[in-house]
Amino acid sequence: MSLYGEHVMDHFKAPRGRGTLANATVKLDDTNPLCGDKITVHLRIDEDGIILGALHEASGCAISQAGSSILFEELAGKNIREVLTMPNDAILREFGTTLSVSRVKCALLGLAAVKKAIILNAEPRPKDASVNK
Amino acid sequence: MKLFSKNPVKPAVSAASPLVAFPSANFPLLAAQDIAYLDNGATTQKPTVVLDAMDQYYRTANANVHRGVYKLADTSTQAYEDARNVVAKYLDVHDDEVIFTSGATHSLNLAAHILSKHVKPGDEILTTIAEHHALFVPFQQLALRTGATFVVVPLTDEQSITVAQINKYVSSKTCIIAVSAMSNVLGYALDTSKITKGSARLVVDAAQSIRHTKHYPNADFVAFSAHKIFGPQGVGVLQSRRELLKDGEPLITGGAMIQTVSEIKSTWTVAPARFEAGTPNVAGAVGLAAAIKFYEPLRKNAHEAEMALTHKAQAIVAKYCNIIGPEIKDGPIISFTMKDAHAHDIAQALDAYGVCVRAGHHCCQPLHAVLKVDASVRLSIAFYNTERDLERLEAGLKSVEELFS
Repeated sequence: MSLYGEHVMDHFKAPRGRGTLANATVKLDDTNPLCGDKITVHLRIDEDGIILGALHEASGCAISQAGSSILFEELAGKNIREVLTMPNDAILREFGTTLSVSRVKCALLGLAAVKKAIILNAEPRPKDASVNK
Repeated sequence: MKLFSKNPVKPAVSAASPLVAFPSANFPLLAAQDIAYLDNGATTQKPTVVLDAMDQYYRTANANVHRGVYKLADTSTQAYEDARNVVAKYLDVHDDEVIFTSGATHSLNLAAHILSKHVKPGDEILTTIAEHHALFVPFQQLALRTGATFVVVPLTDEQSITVAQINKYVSSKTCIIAVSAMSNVLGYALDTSKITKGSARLVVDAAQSIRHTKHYPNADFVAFSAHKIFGPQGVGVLQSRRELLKDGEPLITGGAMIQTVSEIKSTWTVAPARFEAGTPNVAGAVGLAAAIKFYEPLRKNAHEAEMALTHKAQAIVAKYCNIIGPEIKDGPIISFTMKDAHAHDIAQALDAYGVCVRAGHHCCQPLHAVLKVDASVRLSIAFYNTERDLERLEAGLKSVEELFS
């Protein structure tokens, strides 16, 4: 089966969860040096660890953009524990075929960035500190 | 053999192909795998004669060189020095002007190190924006260490580098000019003998050009890797002149490069051993020599066949993509981008057609930055490539265009 199947190309061409969140509690930039993929994650997380809002900005290869879209479509309303314990395979199996080692990083850029953002959000910081990484 | 038999209706190679002129050209990997290998700029495939030479070395001649007094050690030393002689003849230089290294990157770092004592603050080290990191970075770092100015020659309006463009930036302060004789991205080649170097030292990265050009008469240092001329990976050459190597400081110290060692100081032996500390890659050197002996008789025909195929590939690629660099390619290298499709997606989709190409910045980040391209796709041809490989390329590019349009 081709890596660029209908499901993946749909997410690439019409990505879900794109945009910026004005009231985000955390914002984080991440990159994948192989393809030069870039992502900025915006999350609004409440005190109970529920993700109230999740949007992202992204550029780069189709695999990274589809991988992020697949994730962000499902993020709102989730508990951060569920996201932090989400296995890589939850994203990878959506591609319907085995990705080469180098492209796995593309597919998982979104998930890795969201996990980093959740951890950053939990770090104690002064109220007026920048939430950028 | 695959190249002759797979496509009897439309011959994979024409009668004029160097493979016909040189029937011993046998590449086991290509015969065994149904691929269109178009990543020869990254590394070339290895002919049987190279694999056999290395196998034979380990089976019949393996011992450490320059050490033992027994016959087998002599045999090994002889094999190593014979390999050096083959390389020296190819380059038309003295044997002791050929230093074996681990590859072009090591060679260029060594050249920068040897030249470092001649660089003063305020001097200019000149290179171009199109260089591979293997050249760009060692000389950038040398400039930073010594207080020299790092002068980077920009692209011409044709997205190329020419000798005339380089010469415009050479000044009385230029102490080193370090350039590649063939770009690994843009496909241009330079006649480095036309560079007006004055009193500056000229370092030539011949990694891509060594298959096409043997001699670099104006160069003070020439660096290349064996694996880009059908030899093995892990071995390369730095060639220089006796007078420059005589007092050159070694980059790596240790065994085999010593004159004397005492508790308080050490002195170095003469070149080339001076720059070859430790047990060398003897089988690699033997493999390189076999590759040169194999390739030299067909070099000119191979170049012509490669360029004919490159021009055909260029016409195909131009239908679907934007080609980077000058329109006329001097070497068998074409880099390109496609609107809406990322380079890595193009390369990945081509892989489904068995087409092997490279995607990324090809170790040329400064170049890609000025081209305002995150990543490009590069195809690079060798004489064993066929029209059938290009048919597969076209089918692949067509599918990418449909997928991403």
